[in-house]
Amino acid sequence: MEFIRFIVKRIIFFLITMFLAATFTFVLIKSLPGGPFGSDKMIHPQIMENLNEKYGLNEPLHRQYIMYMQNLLKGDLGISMIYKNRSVSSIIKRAFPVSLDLGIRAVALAVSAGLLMGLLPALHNNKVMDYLVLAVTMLAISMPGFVMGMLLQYLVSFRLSEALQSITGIGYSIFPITGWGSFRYTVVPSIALAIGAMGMMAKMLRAGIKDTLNQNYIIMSRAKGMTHMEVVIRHALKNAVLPLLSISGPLITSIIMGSFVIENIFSIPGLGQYFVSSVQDKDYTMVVGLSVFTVFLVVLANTLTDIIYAVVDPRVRIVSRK
Amino acid sequence: MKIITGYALLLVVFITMSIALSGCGTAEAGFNQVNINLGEEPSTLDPQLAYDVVPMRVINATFEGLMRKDKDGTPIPGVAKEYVISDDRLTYTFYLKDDAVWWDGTGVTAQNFKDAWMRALDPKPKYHEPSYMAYLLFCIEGAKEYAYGEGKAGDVAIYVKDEKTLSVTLIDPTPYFLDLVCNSVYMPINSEFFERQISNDNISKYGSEAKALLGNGPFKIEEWNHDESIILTKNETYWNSENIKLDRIKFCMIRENTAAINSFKAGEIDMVEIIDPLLIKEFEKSGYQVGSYDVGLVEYISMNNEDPILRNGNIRKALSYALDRKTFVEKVLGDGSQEALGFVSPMVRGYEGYFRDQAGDLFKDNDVKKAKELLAQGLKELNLSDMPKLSILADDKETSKRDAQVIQDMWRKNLGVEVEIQIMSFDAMAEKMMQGDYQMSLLMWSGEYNDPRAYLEVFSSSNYYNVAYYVNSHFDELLDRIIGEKDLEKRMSLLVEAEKVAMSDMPVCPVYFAQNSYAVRSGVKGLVRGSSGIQDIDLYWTYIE
Repeated sequence: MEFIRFIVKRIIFFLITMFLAATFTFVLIKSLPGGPFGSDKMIHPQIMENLNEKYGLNEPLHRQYIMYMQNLLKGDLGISMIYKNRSVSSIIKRAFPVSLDLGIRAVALAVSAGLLMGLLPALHNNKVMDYLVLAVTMLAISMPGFVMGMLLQYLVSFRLSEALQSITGIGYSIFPITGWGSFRYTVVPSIALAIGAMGMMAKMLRAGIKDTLNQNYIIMSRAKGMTHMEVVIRHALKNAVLPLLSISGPLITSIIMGSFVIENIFSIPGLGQYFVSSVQDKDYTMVVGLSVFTVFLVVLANTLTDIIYAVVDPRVRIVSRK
Repeated sequence: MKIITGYALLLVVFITMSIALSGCGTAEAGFNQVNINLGEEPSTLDPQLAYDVVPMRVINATFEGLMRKDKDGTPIPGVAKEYVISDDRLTYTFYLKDDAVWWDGTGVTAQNFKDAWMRALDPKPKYHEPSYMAYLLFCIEGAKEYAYGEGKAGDVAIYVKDEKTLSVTLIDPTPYFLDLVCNSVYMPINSEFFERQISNDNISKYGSEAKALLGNGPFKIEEWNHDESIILTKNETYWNSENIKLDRIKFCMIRENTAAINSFKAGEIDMVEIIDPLLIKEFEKSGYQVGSYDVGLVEYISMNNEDPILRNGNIRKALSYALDRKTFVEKVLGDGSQEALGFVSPMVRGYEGYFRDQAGDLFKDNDVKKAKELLAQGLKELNLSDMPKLSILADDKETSKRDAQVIQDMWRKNLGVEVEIQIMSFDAMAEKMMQGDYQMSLLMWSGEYNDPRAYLEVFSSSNYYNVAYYVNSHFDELLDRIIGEKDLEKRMSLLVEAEKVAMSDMPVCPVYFAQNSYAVRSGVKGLVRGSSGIQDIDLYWTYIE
């Protein structure tokens, strides 16, 4: 019963969020000057009128809104106004898997490397290692994505590939600079996308472990005669991971939804660029379609995180029941 | 220590894995392929719907109109084997080549052209949006009325005489009609193929997928991986295929110029646009071929001729004369762009030779003394003691911001005039200009066809895009006479006069004629970059050495 109520509440919440998101984006994008047609090309006024009529843009705003919402209810996101005769859902269907692929690689990399780096200083109990990790994580967090992306592209995709090419004598670059395809295309962009999240995870984990290692129950376990390694892995890690879980939902969705910057730098055919270009082009249907899709994913991810959190931390469950 | 060795091992495994797993990708030797960066995903490859340069780069290779452009940009017969112009210069009759065929081998007919042109003019097409570029067909009798929903389709003067003969009647003698016919919107369409692309929900897939396209050009489309690449292969059924050297073209879509430059240096693409002029020297030193071409763009400052201050011609002239355009193009741009001392681009042809050579420079710039005199005189006429601060709108592109700052600096130094730069999106700028709510704005203009009229029309008082709100009845009258003039030499001298009349009022202040620079891999020869959109990248004569 509890559980059903929880789910029903979630679903209602979810629908309200979707509705609000669609409405807000609709209002915001319509309030921008200009329209989807000819933002850098002047179009004859009469032709513009024909275009507006074709897409129903000559109707009063509230009529457009009702029309749009009706289509949305039918699950129809409409036709892109920039990419002629392509439906918004077909573009999402094609581009999202690419972003998802890249995102999953990046998340896997970020989580494994982040956990490893967060654990290292505690495991080694070594000041130098601690400072080293701190320095690396701070750099990873504070370096903007486009700097990191371009740096890695130049150093790894271009220079390192060139060097490896001359050493091994193979006739192609090992890490291509741009494009998307086989495994070697994915390496550098995944690293570039993962680095920020990795730094964040490592930093939080390091702080969390440091914090828990000073708790009484840890001293107690040590007193029982457990080794340092056992204490860290069995007791400290479990508690230190909790705060990580709460940020992982939004973090992972933001990575998976596609990074405009990284996808742009490496020319990856993902969804990321559409978030920016559709607003710039005033591709109304695309903007609202994308935001509805994003909200769907984010709410989904948050709900999942909540559930996982409840499973991992019994305290949360108790609070939510009250 | 143990851990470090472990990591090192991991790295080695990782690298070997990536080498082992690497797929194909590079071309075989002896196979003529070029890799060209399109810059972005084309919005469509439907020739009637395409409106910007990106899809036209592909359309130029996959379609062919009645005429196509030669290496120097002049129209030469494409699908047409010959054409006849009537004595009154109003009727054009095109005779089509017998061996001009679609990719599937069926012949290209006169009806295919009529269908395409009528489709572009259709004000309410059923399966797609109306064409942006329809106005390029407005020189045809009845076309404008039909497109504006005021006339009938039957009144458009495009006649199919027989399967291979097409005749068109124009409203005015239009000496640049053959130039227009090269454009994307004039490309033929295979209607039966088009009909087959209509899906259940009344949307035509035509031009949105590789398999939803049927062309008649020198190359055919093999793959279209959206946002990633378009692959073209040589079309063996093309009438001139023996002279097409390339076997394969790969268009990729690299949006970031820095990434494109790295890609170019690493050999992944064969040509790259140069935005930073410092790179020109670097590329030349590294042995690449560096070129630049006139894109037909003139950068100019539009001045609101209805503004209480800029209404004064002497002030407008003072602002224009105070600019040092030579320093601008040499020190700031350094990419071969030329100073604009007129409005019509230097790539526009006149009556024998180029228009600019005939019209010459229309004023002298960097003339600080004269500018100051004019300013003082202008202020006196306006009863002002000193110059109020002006404002100039610029869009948010890096180059526009840079140019606006240079202009601001030159005016401050040479004339003591303060100008505030307001950066905004182009849409916001356009809205303000259309309402007349601005003083000055930094703009670019390019003609849609190779004729001075395409530039000068913007000063006509009835023109929708006359955002300078310039009104000169003498100029309007000259332009009217130009439209009806059958004697080409006389027509051109009228155009020269019209530009002179406009520039003597200085309704806008031209700054420079833009050039684009690019680098090409040394083995790639015969790559043409033309001044018109359809010929921006022309691979017709390209070969690998």
